[in-house]
Amino acid sequence: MADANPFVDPLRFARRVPPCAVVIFGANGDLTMRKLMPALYRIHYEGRMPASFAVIGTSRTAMTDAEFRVKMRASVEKFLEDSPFEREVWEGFEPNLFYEPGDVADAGFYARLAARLSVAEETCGTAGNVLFYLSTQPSHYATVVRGIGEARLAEGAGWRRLVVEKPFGHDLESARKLDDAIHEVFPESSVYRIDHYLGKETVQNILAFRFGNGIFEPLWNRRYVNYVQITAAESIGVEGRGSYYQETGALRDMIQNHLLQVMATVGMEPSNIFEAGAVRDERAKFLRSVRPIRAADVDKYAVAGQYGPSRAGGVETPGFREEPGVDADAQTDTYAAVTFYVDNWRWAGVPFYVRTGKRLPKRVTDIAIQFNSAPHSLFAVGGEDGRASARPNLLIMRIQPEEGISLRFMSKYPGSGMKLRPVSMDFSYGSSFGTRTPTAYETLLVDALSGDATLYTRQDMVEASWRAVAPILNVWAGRRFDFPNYSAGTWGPAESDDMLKRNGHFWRIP
Amino acid sequence: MGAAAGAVRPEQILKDLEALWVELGQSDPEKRNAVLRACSMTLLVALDEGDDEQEAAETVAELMHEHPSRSIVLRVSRDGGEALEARVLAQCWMPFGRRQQICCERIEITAPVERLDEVPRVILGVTVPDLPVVLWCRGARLCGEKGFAELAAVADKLIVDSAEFPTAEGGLEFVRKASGRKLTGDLAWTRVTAWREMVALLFDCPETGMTARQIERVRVLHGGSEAGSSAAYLAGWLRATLGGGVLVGMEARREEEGSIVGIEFEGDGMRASVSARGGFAVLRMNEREHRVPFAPQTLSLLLREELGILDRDGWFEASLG
Ligand SMILES: NC(=O)c1ccc[n+]([C@@H]2O[C@H](COP(=O)([O-])OP(=O)(O)OC[C@H]3O[C@@H](n4cnc5c(N)ncnc54)[C@H](OP(=O)(O)O)[C@@H]3O)[C@@H](O)[C@H]2O)c1
Repeated sequence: MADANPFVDPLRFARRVPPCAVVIFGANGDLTMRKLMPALYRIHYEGRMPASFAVIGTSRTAMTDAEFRVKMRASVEKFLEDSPFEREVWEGFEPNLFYEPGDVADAGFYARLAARLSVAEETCGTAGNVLFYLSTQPSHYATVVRGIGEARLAEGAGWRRLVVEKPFGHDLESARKLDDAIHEVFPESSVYRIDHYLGKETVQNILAFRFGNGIFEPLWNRRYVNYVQITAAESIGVEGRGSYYQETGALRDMIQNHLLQVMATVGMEPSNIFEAGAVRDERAKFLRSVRPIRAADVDKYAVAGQYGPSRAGGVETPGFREEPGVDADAQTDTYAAVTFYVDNWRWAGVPFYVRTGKRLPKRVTDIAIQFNSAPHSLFAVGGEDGRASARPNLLIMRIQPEEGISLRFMSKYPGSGMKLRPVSMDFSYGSSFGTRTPTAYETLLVDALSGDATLYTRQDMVEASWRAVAPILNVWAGRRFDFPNYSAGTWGPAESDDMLKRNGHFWRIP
Repeated sequence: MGAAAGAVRPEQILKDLEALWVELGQSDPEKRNAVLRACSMTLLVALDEGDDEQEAAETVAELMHEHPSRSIVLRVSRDGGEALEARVLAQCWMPFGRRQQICCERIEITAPVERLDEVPRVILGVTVPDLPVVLWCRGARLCGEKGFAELAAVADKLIVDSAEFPTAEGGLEFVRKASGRKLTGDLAWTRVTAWREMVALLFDCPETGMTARQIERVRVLHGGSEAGSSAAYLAGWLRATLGGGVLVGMEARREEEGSIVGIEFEGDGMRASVSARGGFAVLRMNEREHRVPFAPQTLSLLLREELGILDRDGWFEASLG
């Protein structure tokens, strides 16, 4: 066991990554180019990469180290967010990038990879620490893990960790199967299941807001909260990934993982310490408390939608079924809305409305906490539209874009009489902290490389989320929908509004 | 309604600020994207006659992006003038990719050095309630003026730069005394952070088999003939971290510039060093060598770091001795 480094000072400088090698499976793919490589470069740019590191990319396409470096440079230049590309910094980073071509199903490939890792250990001083990153097709995950195991790459002088990208299975059973395959090779403590929503600064800020302040938590329960709305809207369609999306759908792609994690962040109990185990226990506990929907109630609590073609402002937008690679009668949900209830003391009876969709009017992700109305309407006749006085307080946490928090409350309109108007008190994350916020992948990569799993999901959380959506998926799988049921550029199908109307609620227009 | 000549009243400054916001709100004809007022503290900047006002103004402007504040820039004049004067203005900017301007308030006060003792009462009336007040005293001379202690008393944290004092020992002595009374930051110590970070990085490579326990001797290399306060802090920190058994010395590199130019470690079977070269730090561990980006430390970066720390800094206190 190495001695602890006495020179670190977290008050003044950020945590650095220990010497290590990162092996990326699928290094020729979209995720590596868009997110992983820019994040690794940026971590290096900030001087947070160790002096000794190696990144070994792998995929089938034949490339030399030099060709791989050229390709990675181009993608970093293109996809680096809010940050300049600096040639000199790249030149310090590039010599540590390597590439090993091979098919994940070929045992010989792992032997070559093992040789590469030994060379990296020798020449780059990676100390035997290896992070394996699964950024390839999910159908290859089990094969890769088996290959790593058989080549004994999961053992060695340093630590060996595995990062798994979503999806973690396509239902509860396949998630368990994948987990079993992973655990044949890696212990749970070495497995990092990535849900990049949890790495977003603004999602982490929900915890800071809730548990770093004394005044909100007392109101954060069924006595004061009327309902919670979580919206993740995209204005784009499937962007050439129609055939992939067709098999997935909005419920699986967004709600089962990202939005249930966000919901858990909003609703979980505080942990006694901010440590991976404790925080994840609370998240898991919350997810286990989400009430499973009975098959007979699915139509009452869940709505599926699919966008049809539209024309707006002179622009023709094709419907989902007209997208390349999509079947003419695809039954895919490009929109999903669910009413969840959480069976615990804090949230009993409070609906959590969660919706997500493609081709909605704008790109926005936010959470709205609607509080109960004042118990007695003293100013009931005020307000120009007769409704102003009835508007309850609303707390909005905006995750993207324009990250921030707003509180809507009633205020007296200047002049005689008691006319009330809703006004908004705004906190804008960007304007209070002018610094660049790290991307989710930067945060999550540094965490995994430093052994901090707080922002990663755990198998029990994955299974609890699958359990929460499984009844809906099962019912929808056996149904023929009358799709399309909303036009591109609108806020989703009318049935979704009806779902809330039955409770006397309505969707906000974010 | 202006203030009487030579008099500055806090209520008048506050009224002027109010008027400024009304004006800024009206500057957007569509009224949709009125400016956003941002404030996380009061930043009081004390400038002496002869201090580079332009540089200070630019530094404050840069700081606003990360630490939006009501800034109060106090210019102390030594030219025999008698009047105390104040004016208010706003600093606005449009953050990258956004549609709403962010604005911060700035109050500028000019006071003759003889009337410095009148200033704290004005400032007390115009600090932002319930938020921290930080005083950055640009020059060393001002710190010795009558009335300075009262000015510093207004602030929750005082930031000085001991490197600006005529001697390092004098500067460090001032900081020692000040930090006995209130939370104090010294930019000479802040300059050491980047070096400390590199040292931490040097010992983050277990494969070299090198640990801090092996260190027997350390040399802090400084430019010029005299060691400045940053070099003294670095040596103090190394002593505090490594304990009494390790010999920590300083060595001049007369031909080089910079308060710190390198650090060398020697011990049982190990040699390591950190040095700076053209935007990079060069880390040597026995036979290995690595380069790491080493950001230039502008004044605003140093202040940015200090403004982010509004609690005690144990290593600073230990290094100050
Ligand atoms: N893209 C995103 O923004 C995003 C976001 C969240 C999660 N994810 C997840 O991340 C993973 C990767 O996504 P992606 O978008 O990067 O996929 P992708 O663009 O399809 O990339 C897949 C990669 O796997 C390689 N590959 C395919 N078959 C292989 C085989 N038999 N042996 C070795 N390598 C093989 C491909 O390169 P060759 O053709 O050269 O072999 C390619 O590098 C997926 O699980 C996805 O669900 C992606």
